[in-house]
Amino acid sequence: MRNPIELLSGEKILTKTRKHWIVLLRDTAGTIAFGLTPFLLSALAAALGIVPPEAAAYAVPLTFVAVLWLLITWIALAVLWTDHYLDMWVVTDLRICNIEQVGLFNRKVASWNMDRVQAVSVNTANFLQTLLHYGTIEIQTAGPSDEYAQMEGVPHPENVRMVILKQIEYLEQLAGANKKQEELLHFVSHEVKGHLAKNKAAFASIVEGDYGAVPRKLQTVAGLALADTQKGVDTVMDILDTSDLKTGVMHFEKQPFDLKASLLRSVEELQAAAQAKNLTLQCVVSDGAFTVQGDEVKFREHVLRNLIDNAIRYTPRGSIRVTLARTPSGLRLSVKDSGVGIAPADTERLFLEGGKGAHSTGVNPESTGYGLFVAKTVVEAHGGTIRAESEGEGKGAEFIVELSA
Amino acid sequence: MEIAVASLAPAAWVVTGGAALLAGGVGIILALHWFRFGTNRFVAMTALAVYAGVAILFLGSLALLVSAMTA
Repeated sequence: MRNPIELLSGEKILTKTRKHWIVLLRDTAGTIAFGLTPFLLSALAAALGIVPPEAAAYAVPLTFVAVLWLLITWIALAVLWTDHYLDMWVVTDLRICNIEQVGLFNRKVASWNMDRVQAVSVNTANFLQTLLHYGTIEIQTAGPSDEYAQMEGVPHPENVRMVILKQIEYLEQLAGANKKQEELLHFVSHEVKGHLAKNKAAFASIVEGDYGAVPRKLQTVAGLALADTQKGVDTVMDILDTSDLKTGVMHFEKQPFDLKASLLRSVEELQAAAQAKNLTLQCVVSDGAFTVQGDEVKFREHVLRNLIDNAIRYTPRGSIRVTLARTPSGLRLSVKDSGVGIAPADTERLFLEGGKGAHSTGVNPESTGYGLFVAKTVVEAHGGTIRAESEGEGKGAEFIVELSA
Repeated sequence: MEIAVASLAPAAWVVTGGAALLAGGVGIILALHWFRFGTNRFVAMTALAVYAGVAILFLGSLALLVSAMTA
């Protein structure tokens, strides 16, 4: 039918449990006894012969009252059963959720992140709980308020505890492995970047004639090698920046800069790449300064250049139009192309770490899938938003950055 | 002092109507809970059938008893 909680992306339910049936029996015992009491009393009175003779004349009204009494008892039992049925503990691979239904209108859903759970204990308090294999689970979480949660009447609580402990252990191992992987990636990327930078300098020296005139063929080959090396440097930089973002190492300067000047510079730098593909790269900017508080270098490299460079890469023919304008709420930068477009399912995925469009690799084999993730992070660090719009595949795309004034 | 049973019928009809409203109102709220928050449609359908069945049985009995008072 449906999951008892809204699951996060990729989240899986490991186990879910309701309270033991004996808890329902305990909670309804009073109501059942209350409902049966008049009947037991009347049966007792009949047995003892103390029923007044005129009671027979009122048999119908008395039966009416008895049926009404049973109806109210039945409604009360239905409410109690609903409270029992909707109470649930859900253990997912990310969190523990306690759903508690209190009466008809009060429903509480509390959740504790698995990585914050410090202790899980099981309490089987008496003979009945031992006999029927149920008990209370208690969890203690780390946090400012040292939260504490418990669910009583859980059938086979030890099994639930083991599921939680195994998941905590798994998450700890995963976090450790991730950290080591990040460190290794960072180290390798730094090493590769060093070598690529040296290669780039050597090829650039040949192309720019630092070693004097070189044969035409060698200059052509060196030019191609320089372009390839530049792509390699860009890829490694993307990966390094992503790694820095995840480890919280990337820092942003907060200084006023003119976004218009930055944009015009980026467009000018990439004009040659657009012309090489016979694309028209047009830039339209409103008059006046567009002062933004932030890190100009990172914004230019990771947002402006990235978006325009992507537009050039993913546009086989046609044009690219870059616009910067003021809006009532701030600034709006748009990079619109007539390229391969974006499938509707990809508009969100493009901004995820390693996220690529369905046909990205076919158009741009060098795509790392990190560029837009870094761009989004940088834009958000500047208090802005970034999104992609497209009418579909083959119909071009528009990337829109909005910054508050 | 004896009270004629027939004279109780109007009040009994009002009580029956009130009981029907109560059972129906609570039933609607409970059914919303079962279908909205429950995890199993079969359980929700069964719960609704059992609740409504028993409630109709009791309400029908009340109506028959009030009719008997009038007769």
